[in-house]
Amino acid sequence: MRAPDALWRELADGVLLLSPTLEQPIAVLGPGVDAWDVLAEPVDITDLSAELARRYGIAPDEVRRDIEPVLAELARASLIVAVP
Amino acid sequence: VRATRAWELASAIASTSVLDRAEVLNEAPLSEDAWRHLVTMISTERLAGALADAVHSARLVVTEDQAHETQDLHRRAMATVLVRDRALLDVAGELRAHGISFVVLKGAAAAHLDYPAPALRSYGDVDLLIPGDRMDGARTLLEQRGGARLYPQRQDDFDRRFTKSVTVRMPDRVEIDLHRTLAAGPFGLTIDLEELGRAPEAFVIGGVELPALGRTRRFLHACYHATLGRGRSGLVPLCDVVATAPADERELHTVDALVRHWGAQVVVAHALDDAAATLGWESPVWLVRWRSEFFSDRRRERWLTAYRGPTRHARRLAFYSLEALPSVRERVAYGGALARSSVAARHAAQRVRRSAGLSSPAAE
Repeated sequence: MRAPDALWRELADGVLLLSPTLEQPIAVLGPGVDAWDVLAEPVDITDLSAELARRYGIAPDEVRRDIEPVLAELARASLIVAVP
Repeated sequence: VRATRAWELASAIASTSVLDRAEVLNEAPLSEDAWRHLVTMISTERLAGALADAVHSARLVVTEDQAHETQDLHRRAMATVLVRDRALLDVAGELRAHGISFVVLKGAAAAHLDYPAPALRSYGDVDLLIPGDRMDGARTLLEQRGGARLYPQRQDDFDRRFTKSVTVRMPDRVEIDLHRTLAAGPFGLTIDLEELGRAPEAFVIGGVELPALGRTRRFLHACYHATLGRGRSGLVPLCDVVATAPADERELHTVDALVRHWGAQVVVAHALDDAAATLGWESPVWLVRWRSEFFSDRRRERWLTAYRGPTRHARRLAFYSLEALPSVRERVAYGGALARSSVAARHAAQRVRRSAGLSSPAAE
C-alpha cells in the first residue's frame, strides 16, 4: 500500500509523488495512476492486477507484467510499503 | 493592452475554477503572443491549477501544444508544492519536538481544507503562525538546521512583540515564514492573537495531522492578505476569500464578532468588493446585506491608504502602527526600535557607498 508519509498531487495526466527519500517528485502516468488509486488500501499484487484488469478490460497476467516494474520503482522510492 | 487582456483572462480562469462555472472562455485558441502573456500571468499569479482545470474541462479552448504546456506548467507548480509540503513536515516535527506550538497558514492548509482538490491551489513557501513569545525559539531552531534569516531584527524583542513575520531561507532554498500576526502595520497589531488561534481545524499530509486556523479565521486571513498584501490584490488571495466566505449565517455571526473586535471592517469590505469585481462573484444576499451595514471608520480608512497602491508607504505604516498600539509603553518601545533600525540602516547604506567609493563628507 501507499507509504503513510508519501506526498502526492493528482494531475490531469497522472500523479506526482514525493517521499522523504526522493530528492525531487516523480510523475506516474497511464495505468500507474490507477495503481496508485488502488494502493490507497492494502492489496496484494494478484488483487491489484485483477482490479486493474477489470478497469482496462484486459487479462490480469498482462496487467501484472506491466505493473510489476512500476511497483518496484515505487518501492525503491519508498512510496509504497509492504504490510503484514 | 496585452498585459491587461492577460490579467482579465487569468481572472476569468480563476473565477471559473473557484466558482465552478461551466462557461467557455474563448471560441478559438489564443494566438501564440496572447498565450505567452497568459502563461506569464498564470505563473506570476500561481494559477497553474486553475489553468489546468480550465483546459481539462474544455472551458478554455487551446491547441495541442498549449495543452501540453499547461500540463508541464501544472506539474512544475505541483512539484514545488510537494517540496514545500515536505519542508513543512520537517519543520513541524522539529517545532513539536521542542514544544513550540504552531498553526499552518495559507498554502497547504488552504489547498487541503478549502479547495475541491489540493492540486487547484499553488504556493511557493511555508507559512506558520507562531506564538509571539516563541518566535525567537522557532527562528533559532531553523537557523540550527542551516536556515538563514533574510532580514535582520530591528531590536532584540521586536520579533516577539511587533513584527508581522520573519522569513528564514533553508539550505534547500525553501522559505519558511514565521508569522506572529496576519498583517504588517496597524491592522496586524489590532488582531487579537489569542482569539485568532481559537477553534482550529486539522488537515493531514504525509500521514501527519497538522493544525490550521478555523474556517472563519481563514476567511479573515484571506481578506487581510487580499487587501493588505503587497501591490494589487492577487488572484489567489481573492480565490481564498471566495473559498472560505461564510457558508451560512451562523459562520457570519462568528466572523462579525471577530471583525468588530479587530476593527477589520474596512479590510473585509475591500476584500469582498474586490472579489466581486475581479472574479464576478455573486455572494449570498445575507452576506451582501452584512457588508453594506459596515460603518465608515475614518482612522482605519486612513490606515488602509498606507497599504494600497503600487508602493507601500513604510513611514506612514510605522506612524499608524504607533496609533494602533494600545499602551504608551508599547508605543515608546516600537518608536525606539524604528529609530534605532533607521540609524542602523543609514550607517549600512553609508558603508556600502564608502566601499563603492561614492561617499563624500557632504553626502554623509
